Amino acid sequence: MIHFNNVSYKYPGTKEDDYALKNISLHIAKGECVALLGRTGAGKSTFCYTLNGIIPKSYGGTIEGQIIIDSLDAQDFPIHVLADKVGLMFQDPESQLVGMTVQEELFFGVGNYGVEREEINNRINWALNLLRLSGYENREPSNLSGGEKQRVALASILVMQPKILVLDEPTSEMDPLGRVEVYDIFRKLRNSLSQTIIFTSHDSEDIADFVDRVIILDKGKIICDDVPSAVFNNSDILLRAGIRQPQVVEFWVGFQKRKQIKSHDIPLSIEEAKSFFASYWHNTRIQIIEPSEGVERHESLENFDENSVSTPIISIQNLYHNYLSGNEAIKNINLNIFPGELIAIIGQNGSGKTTLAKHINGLLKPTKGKVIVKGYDTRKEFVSKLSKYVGYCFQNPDHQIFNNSVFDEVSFGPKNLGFDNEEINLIVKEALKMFDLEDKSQSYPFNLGKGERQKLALASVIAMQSEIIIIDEPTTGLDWITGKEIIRIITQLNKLGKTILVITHDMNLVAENIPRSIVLYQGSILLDGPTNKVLSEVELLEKTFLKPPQINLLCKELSEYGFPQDVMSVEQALNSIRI
Amino acid sequence: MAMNIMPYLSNESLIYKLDPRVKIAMLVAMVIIPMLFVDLLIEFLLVIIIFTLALMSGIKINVIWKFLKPITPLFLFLIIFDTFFESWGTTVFFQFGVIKLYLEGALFGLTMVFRMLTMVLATIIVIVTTDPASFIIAIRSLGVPHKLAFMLSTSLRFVPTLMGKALQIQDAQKSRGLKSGDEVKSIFKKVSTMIPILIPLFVTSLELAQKLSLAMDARGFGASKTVTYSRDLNINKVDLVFLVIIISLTIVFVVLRIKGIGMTMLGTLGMFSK
Repeated sequence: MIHFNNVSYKYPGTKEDDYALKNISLHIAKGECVALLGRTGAGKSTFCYTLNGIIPKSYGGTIEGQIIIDSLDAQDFPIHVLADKVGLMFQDPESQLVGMTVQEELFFGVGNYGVEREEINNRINWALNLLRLSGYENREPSNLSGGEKQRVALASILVMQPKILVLDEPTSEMDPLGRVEVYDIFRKLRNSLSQTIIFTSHDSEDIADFVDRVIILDKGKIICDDVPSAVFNNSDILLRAGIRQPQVVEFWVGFQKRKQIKSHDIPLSIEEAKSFFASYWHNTRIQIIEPSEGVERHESLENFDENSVSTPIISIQNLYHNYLSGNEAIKNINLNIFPGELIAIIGQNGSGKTTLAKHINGLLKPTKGKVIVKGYDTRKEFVSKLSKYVGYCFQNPDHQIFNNSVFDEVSFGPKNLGFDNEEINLIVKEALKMFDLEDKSQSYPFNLGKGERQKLALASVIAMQSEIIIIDEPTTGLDWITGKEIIRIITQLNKLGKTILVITHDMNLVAENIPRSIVLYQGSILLDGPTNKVLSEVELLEKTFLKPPQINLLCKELSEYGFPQDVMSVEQALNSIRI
Repeated sequence: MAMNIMPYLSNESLIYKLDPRVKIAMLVAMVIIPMLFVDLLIEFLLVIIIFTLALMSGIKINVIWKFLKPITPLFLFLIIFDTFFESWGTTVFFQFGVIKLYLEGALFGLTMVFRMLTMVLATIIVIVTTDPASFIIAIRSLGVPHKLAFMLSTSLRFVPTLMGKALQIQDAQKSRGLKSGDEVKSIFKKVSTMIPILIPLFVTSLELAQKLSLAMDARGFGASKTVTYSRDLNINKVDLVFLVIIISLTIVFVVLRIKGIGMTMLGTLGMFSK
């Protein structure tokens, strides 16, 4: 279906040897389901764009080698001929929606090919059902959440019924169960329609058990092309490409090391892992677990209760917020946050996480109730004053970058707060050092890569030296390594005494690093407490489209062997096994 | 979060159900007719007609006000400005030293305001009661090329998106200590506080436009000459009745104009007082 014969590509205006793709040769057969993994900037999107010809036809640049799509030489045909065979969903959900309504959106692509209206309407109904979008027909795309937009974008490609589906990070803005849903759809498509599916992703855990093949790109080259069981067992390659090993595999590898056994049936899902361990323990008849022995408690969890003695740095009392449209965005929120806490705010798309957070620095004022920050009532203070105490880093770094140099960008906040030049010099250098951006100090911010821009945005908020820091989705769309680096800095800042709130969908991040979690559901607090307790409430979490980390679910499945119920990391799980 | 810049209102009113082309005809008539006259009474009559139509279409007064509020200063300015001129009549109703204010000038200003009000109200009716999706089909069926019609509707689609982005950017910069609104007193400073918002907005808009054109390519925009639209537009009896009313009204007013009626500001008023 797809042939690449020694393909190299260079974007226009880049340096002589700066290839975005280098010597790519591969063959993808009809009906294959392929996951394309790799670090941010490894060439995944570029590869996707070559499939329907927008590279090089829309982008320009120089391409070498030969690409054959469904027996057509891509070079000889215009984009719309290739687009009939290759449906491409882009990474950014916002900019690919062209219609005034969801219905019009789905109509657009097929309509361009003059398909009969009745046929189109049938396909639209099918796609709406498949993606749980029935009832959304007349909604405006701009009023949907990021995850919903992605579902609409996916549906609009599916109705075109292309032979090849190419999806560039189709689930990046979805909540955990929303992601699982979409991958279930891939599974169904793969089994029924014999479409070829190629997608890029960072969610190794969710995809490991159903894809036929994993291709890993690094700096424009294919460094690995194999079946998932081989790829996810290859720690060296995974580390090099910044890909997270699925927790079940990580646990299985660690287990084998400790037990000094060797097995070749790598479990790629919880079910597979469960049956492996079940048969292992059944065969050897060894009860190896002491409940909760060796399970380390989170360091900061110990002083969790003591916190209640000190005065809260943020106190939210009986908070309600209605939007102008009359929608009740959050209701009856009561919350105390103490100095030095590190808190995760989690919940599905649209559950009110950002609305709640915006009350803390006064961007939103309560409709009812009040928010007290450092003794100030937010209703009476300007955001610019509260920004001295509360730093807020938004999700999209491009919404704040505007200066000509990285240094100026970071100094904008401190300047507003009235620091003098000498102080600013010091503060900015320190912030840049923290994020490993020192040598970029005089670079033009818009030329930085995505991961670096994210770090820059965070650095420019942290440079404001506020005691409280709110960070919205710090790792969304970043590869695992870059994400881990950001988390390391967050925990480091927390150790320095900062109070930090992180809004996120990344459950592994929460479980492994954050001691307290607050779960929002339809604008109210559903759960609030130590993360290991909160994430053990599987049923309640499901209500708000969240799921605990894979290792926690696995341990629950293995509870009959004595595994503790509140395991938050692979390390913890391994430690609870008596050697 | 949920915001509606184009408050398209789905209801069951007669006007809402009209074919968008009939509404476009209404809009055109309501832009041309007021321009034909300088007569206070006729312009006032037109405002009354269009206002009744607006209420008939189920548009709430506060929605109308939301649109009108930003332009009321202009209306006031027009009236006040014209009172200084004696070209329309010399009835002085206020005098302070050399400054004289003329009644006729004020009435002329009012006439101009009525004129604009008619056009604005007609536009509001069309915007609020027309489903944007059928709007593109309507202009397409009036002979506008597909690509142009599509560009028009897409720019409508991105108005709320860009407004949303502007708000997000504003939030991000305010959180970094940028002063805004009432906090900034001098005009010069107010302008300088716009820069941190305008630059990211400009950059993201450019990026958005570029990605959008790629996304359209990727879904076969321009692939076939026969584009399938999601629906057809059908002129029904009610549409015809309305169209006939619009056309006959236009003819009546054009005839009046040819006969020379309504060419002076108080002409028709004078006819009544005789």
